[in-house]
Amino acid sequence: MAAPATQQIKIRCNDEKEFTVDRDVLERSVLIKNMLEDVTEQQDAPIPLPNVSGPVMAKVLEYCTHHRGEPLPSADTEQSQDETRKRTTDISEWDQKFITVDQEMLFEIILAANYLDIKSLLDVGCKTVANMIKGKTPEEIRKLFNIVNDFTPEEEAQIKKENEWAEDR
Amino acid sequence: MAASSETSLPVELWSRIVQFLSSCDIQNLVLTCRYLHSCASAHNWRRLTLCTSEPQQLERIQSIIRNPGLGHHVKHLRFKPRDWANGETMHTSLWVEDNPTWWGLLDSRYWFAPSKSRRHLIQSRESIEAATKVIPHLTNLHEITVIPSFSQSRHPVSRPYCVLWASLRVERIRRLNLQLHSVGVLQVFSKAIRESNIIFHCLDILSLDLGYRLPDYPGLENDLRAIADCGRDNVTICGFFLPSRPGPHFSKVISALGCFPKLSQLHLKVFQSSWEPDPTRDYLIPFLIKHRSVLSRLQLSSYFFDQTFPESIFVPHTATSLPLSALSITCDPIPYTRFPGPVPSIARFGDTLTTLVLDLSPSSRGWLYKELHDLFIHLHKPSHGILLRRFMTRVLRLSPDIFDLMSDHLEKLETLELGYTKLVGANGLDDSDEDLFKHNLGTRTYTSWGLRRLHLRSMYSSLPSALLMEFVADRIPSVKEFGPFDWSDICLKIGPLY
Repeated sequence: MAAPATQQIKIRCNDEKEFTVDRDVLERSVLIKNMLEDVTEQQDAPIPLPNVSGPVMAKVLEYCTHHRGEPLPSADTEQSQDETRKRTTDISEWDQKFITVDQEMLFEIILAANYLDIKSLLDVGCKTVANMIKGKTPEEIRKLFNIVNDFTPEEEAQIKKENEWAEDR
Repeated sequence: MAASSETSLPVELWSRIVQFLSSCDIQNLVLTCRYLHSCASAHNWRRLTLCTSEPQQLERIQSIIRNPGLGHHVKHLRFKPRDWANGETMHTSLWVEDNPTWWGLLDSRYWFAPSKSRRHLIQSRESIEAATKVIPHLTNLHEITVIPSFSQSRHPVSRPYCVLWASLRVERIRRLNLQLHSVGVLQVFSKAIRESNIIFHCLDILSLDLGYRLPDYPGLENDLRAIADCGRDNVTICGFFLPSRPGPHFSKVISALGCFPKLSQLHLKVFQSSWEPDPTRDYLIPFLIKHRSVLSRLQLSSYFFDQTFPESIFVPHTATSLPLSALSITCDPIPYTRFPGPVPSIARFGDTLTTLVLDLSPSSRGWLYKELHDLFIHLHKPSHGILLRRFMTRVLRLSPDIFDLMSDHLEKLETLELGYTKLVGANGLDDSDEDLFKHNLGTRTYTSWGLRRLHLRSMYSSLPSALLMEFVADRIPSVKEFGPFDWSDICLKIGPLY
């Protein structure tokens, strides 16, 4: 039996780069899914995505293509995961490989996933950053993200005091 | 070098990242710069302790009363007594440090102070009033923990305590942890629940820690029923028992488990000097089998005070008919010269078992080595069903063979947790913990091993260092998550199974 023809959608990134993608792949993005649902007639003009560049979109599409067909997380699951403090930072093997990119690209992917509303990709990105931070001293974190320490010694002492109030776990 | 990158993510995304971090990591993050401090510092308020005499905690409570917006960040509320009189902070570790054999075995949340320090403070009305003031601001609570005061067994502060509970917004609470070490605490709590008519509509997890005085209490089953009812019947219970001595009364505690038909995790902590009858073999396991228990995670901790050990010292053979997915065995000390190890019993479990914690404290590393060797060889047999995915043990100085055996035999192993408990002065060893780990890893490079998470914890130093991380990255390339683990993880925390 022949597979039903899937609708092809065109998108245009902020650097004019265009992609033509199967609709179900693009619908991993809740933003695009909602846009497509709002448009009733067939449109030939590409959907403009002014906040995403071509190279980042290519990565995002790689992710969406791999995960096509998987159920989208509902708002409920999202909430309950948050509430049970499920702070697991497990990332599946494929996602792990996928997200092994330089830091600039990692942050771009997180921003794009947030803008396009792709929760699972956003989580993969955030968990990756969290894993980078885990177990590091403030100085090591600064080095990691090229952060300049802009605290005065007094502020730093104050925060250390606040930290003492915080509980261990 | 690229420009400072932390500001390339907006506050809300950092906030999302912080959700995946422990408090300790958050504390380091907020010290890096002003921007990240503003993004993450609110998460330091995740947990709040009430009814405590610790000055920092009282300061935190005052901060929320002054700045109610902070209350929204509190997700976990603990009631901890103003115990350990005269301002003396009685940390479990003080005692544990006196007795290194116990170090790491004890989760301070579930432990009593030694009798010499049992100077009680009556939980004061004022501290409860302060707590009642702050509670209305806690609008986003998901978890409540109650750690009792010893004094509550003699002076139950039931009236204000009930008021306090009635003022809690419990509709979103998903997890309730109760330590019911004494009859007084159990009575106060069940009364508070009955009088306030509290129903935890969203409760998923009810964790009960039952103390050693409860077996003799005739109202046990009724009070436990009240607690079971507050969460309807959809809760998981994690029970802890501390019978002072085994005997017929123990069966009453076990039968009270019948109040919780969905019991999925149980911790039996046996702390005694006589073994006939054996609480695990003679009461617990027969009960679970008879009631077709859905129990999937079993943790057995045994502590010995004399040289009379039962034959089922680790886990009774009969337990192997339970469909367990996780098994944790803690045993201290190990009478290694007299009894066979846990492997013959473990080997009988079915293919549901994927998590194994062996927290054994032998005085002979040769004994532990042989046990681990037998275990890995056994689990590798094709006829055997167990596909271990998480394994945790305490190790002394071992030969590199152990890592070789694990890499060769535990194909499905994803998580390995090793707690180093070097015996001071034993065999004249004075290697650093890092050297010890490197020694254990041997010289091989494990390129084909699929291990993904490696967690280490040392008794005396903080493992792992950045240097050790590099070392592991070279030697076991599959490891993606490398860091310390919490000793309390020795207990199987309630949560999703791997």
